[in-house]
Amino acid sequence: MTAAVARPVEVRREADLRRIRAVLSTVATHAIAIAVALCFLLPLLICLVTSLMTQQQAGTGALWPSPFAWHNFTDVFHDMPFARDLWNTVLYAGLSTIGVLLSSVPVAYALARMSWRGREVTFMVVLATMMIPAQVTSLPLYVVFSQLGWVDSLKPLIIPSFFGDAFSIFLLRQFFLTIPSELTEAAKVDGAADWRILRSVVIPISKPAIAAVGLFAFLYAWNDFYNPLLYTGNSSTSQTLAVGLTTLAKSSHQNAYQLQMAASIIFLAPILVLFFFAQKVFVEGVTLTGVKG
Amino acid sequence: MKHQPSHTIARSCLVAGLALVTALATACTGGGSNKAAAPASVIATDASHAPTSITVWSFNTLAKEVKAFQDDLGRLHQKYPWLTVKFVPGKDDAAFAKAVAAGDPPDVFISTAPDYVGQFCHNGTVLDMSQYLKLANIDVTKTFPAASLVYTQYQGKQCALPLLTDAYGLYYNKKMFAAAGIASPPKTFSELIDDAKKLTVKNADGSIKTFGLVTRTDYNLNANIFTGVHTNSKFYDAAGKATFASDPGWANILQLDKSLQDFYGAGNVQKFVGQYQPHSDDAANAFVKGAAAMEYDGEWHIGEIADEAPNLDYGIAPFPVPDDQLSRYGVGNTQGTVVYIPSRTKHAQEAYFAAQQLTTDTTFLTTLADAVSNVPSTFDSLKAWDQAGNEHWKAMIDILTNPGSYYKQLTAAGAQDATAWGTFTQNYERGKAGDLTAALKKFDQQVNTMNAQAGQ
Amino acid sequence: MLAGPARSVKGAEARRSRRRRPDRARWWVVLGFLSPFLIGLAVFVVYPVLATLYYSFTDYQAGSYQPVNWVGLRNYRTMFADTQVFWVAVRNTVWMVLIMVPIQTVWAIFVAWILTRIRRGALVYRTIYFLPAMVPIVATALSFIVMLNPVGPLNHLLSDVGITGPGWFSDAAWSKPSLVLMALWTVGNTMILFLAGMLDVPKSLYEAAEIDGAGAWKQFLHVTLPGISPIVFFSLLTGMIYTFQYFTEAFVASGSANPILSSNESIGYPQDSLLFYTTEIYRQGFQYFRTGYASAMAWLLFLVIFAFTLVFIRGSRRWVYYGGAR
Repeated sequence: MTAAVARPVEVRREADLRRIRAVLSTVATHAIAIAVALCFLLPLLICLVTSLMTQQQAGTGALWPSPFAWHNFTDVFHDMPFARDLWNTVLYAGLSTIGVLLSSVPVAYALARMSWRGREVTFMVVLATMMIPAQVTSLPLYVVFSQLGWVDSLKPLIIPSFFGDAFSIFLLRQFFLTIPSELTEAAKVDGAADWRILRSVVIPISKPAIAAVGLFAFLYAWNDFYNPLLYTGNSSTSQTLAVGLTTLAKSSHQNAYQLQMAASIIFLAPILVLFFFAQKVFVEGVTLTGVKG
Repeated sequence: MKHQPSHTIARSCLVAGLALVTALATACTGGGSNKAAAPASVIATDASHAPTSITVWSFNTLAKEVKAFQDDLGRLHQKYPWLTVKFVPGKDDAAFAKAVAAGDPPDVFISTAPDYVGQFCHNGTVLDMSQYLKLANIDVTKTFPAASLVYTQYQGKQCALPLLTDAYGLYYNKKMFAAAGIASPPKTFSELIDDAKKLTVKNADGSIKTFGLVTRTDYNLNANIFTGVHTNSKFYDAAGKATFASDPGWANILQLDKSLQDFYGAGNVQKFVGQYQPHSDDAANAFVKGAAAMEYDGEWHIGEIADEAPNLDYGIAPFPVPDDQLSRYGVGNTQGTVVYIPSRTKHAQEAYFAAQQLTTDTTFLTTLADAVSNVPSTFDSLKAWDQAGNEHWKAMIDILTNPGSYYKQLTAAGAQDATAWGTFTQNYERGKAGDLTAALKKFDQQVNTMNAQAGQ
Repeated sequence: MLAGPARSVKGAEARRSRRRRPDRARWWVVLGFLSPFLIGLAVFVVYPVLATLYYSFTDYQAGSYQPVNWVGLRNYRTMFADTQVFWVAVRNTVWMVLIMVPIQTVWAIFVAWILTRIRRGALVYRTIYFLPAMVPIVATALSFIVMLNPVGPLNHLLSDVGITGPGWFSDAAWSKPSLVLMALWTVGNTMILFLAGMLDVPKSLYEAAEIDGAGAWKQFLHVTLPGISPIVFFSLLTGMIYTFQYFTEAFVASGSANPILSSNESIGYPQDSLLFYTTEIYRQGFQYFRTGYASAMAWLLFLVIFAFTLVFIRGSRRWVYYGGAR
């Protein structure tokens, strides 16, 4: 048999084989992907079903609630100061997001679009502050905040965010650097000052990046545990949800898994809703943190 | 612009920073140990007084306990209308110390345990109440059982007052004892080991259904088995040096722990602890569930069992003593809630007045004891308490009033020595301590260093 | 990259600026833009870092009225001396840095690689894989405590297939692996980075490799991996910096597995297997009030992270330089 003239049957068989191989590989890939997806979903599912179990059933290894205890979701509002914690968390996350954006955008602009001596050093300082562990600063800061009478309030959590946040500055700078210079040059020729360029050119173009940074700041505050633990951990008025969830078992002397899970569901629901509506922003924001190879 | 702004700023930041550091370091330390002016008098109970409002912090978080305190303080206000108390629950020792550091302490602080009495006393954080007590004609030795003075005094200073006491005993399941043919709870270590073995029930597959007694240090309140009282050991000798290597009692109690663990197998004990530790205080507790025939626990467990398993047929006995110390049988580890007055409170007189009422008024103590399932802490209130006849409570009161009962000595290092000892015993249980004698010697050094650094 | 040089502008303005470098921003404008950050830097970073340094040479205790003594290097000596607890914390932290972070990175690469192989439904898969990264850490830790409790759902599922599950968070031998599992679950952010990196690798390289007869594994090894190596370095670096400061997960896991004690008292539970460097600092500083000693520990951590970062960046010549003048 010469290679040049292949018989139609053989050609078809080869094509069939290739198709079968392609189908098989697709099936295999999807099988792996589905298995991994199940691993990722399992903890959330367990969290969800446990939140609907009774005290007798929760934590016993049962996989399906019987009976369904929907009252867990109302119980958490009675058994812990849930509404108050939720409100504090919203306050903390909301206000500190505003603070981070207001203070970080100008700094990032100065680092990315203005030329001045000491700029690189300043940027290095920004990067360096990202590496300082919270534990290094928290001991003296605690003393300062308590002398100011801010402990047991949300002030130590919110006010610092109005003085720039290194991570946000870094992200915004990365994005501002990618703005083509023609756009700002045009404004410069008109004699617009930096402040105007920032407001009328840079900020409108950077909306996605600013949204991502805002989201990250919000998430950071929503998740934050160490600072609220330190400053509001024993407070009867300013506790946040992250800390409140961990003291639920201790304050009732009952290890009520179902209540912890119900509270966790309410705690993570807003974040998941945000995520579904703004997944694109999240993904772009995360990509912004990376360094392109 | 000739000079470089960022450098100037950095330099001024540094200068400002350093200035701030020194300023604050002097400000918040205040310098000098605290010598609160000795009071000339105390507020008489029948005198009128200018209306004063004070803040009382407590560790309690349970709703019924918080309510009991609020009721009590409400009664105090009714009795003495000039005194208004703002009650703040859910504060621990750390929160208190932080508030003191911040210069904004409460007027009275009620702490769950006496671990920090030594530290707060040594550091001048809290008031020495001796002078106040003297002026108020209160003789502490005639008022409070000796066991509760061990943990409220430090180097002769009365830095705290006991408010309700905790005693620890051995809870035992009477049904299981009867089934195993054991007539009375064990009195000695060897009896304890024998009984624990007899009470152990295995499943068909060889796994353990019921444990006699699990003594692993980090389970439930077992750490209190190792405070020394059961072998007549003290953490420190007269010179204040650690005795873990020199006193054979320590190795003795560790040996008891090891024999029980070896009998069950470390893996089985681990399973038990993993399953039941999260439920130490709730309805899934191992003793309530019948997974353990005996359990070492504090007296508040009586209240928990009453809530969770009212039909459980159980008794309470003192924890056994070494075979050669049978005459000491009946002693137990005792500690309790303590009341502090921070030394820099602006209302020392009123704070002491409130503290004295809280800690010595029989009605306060008995109602509070009922609400939080603790033992009242004065001789008078113990006599007057309606629960004193109940067999469970009686057993705990006997342990508490036994002259041989005590809590470990307090030091300026606060809770550190007990925590370090807990870590040591856990390492020993995991077979990581190596040669015990050498390890205990090294541990002695560790604790001595700890105390030396705390300024002891 | 930099903003390009301004076109010359006519007039006095231009002459004045030509005396210096062109396009220099006026310093007071820069200062205006920077002012919030500079104030924050002074108050919330520079001052506390220096204060901690000062404390670390004293026997200062928060809440104490004892005079503060300068004790020189005593706190640092104590750390390295016989306090075994310090070394336990160091060992546990190093374990996490050297074991958890690489496993996490490999897993993130694997998951991202799966996503590149999927044509249909990629968005759904990506959403599911990314979702857990959004769950607040505390909620994650609590969920895992429930899922991994010794008689809980996962061990129940395992026993159905004949495996006796371990005690997870309650067993000193398994508590750190449990945290690793938790870290694998929340790998979404790193995964997105790798995915972006993989999609950036030119198709032509893959085609060339295919012509050379390289299979999927060979292609991954010789095309994909080199293509994403900067991201591997980046994620290892940030992962390790994060893990040196690992606090919340450990604190919550220990506290929830042991509800009988307060969270502060259960630091390290079970049996100090979850005692990490930062939780030990927290315990020394805010539980024992040894502010001086805790400050010394904190400073050492700062130095270690700093040195580690420098070495890591030096050691990886591929490191992408940040923008700015070169």
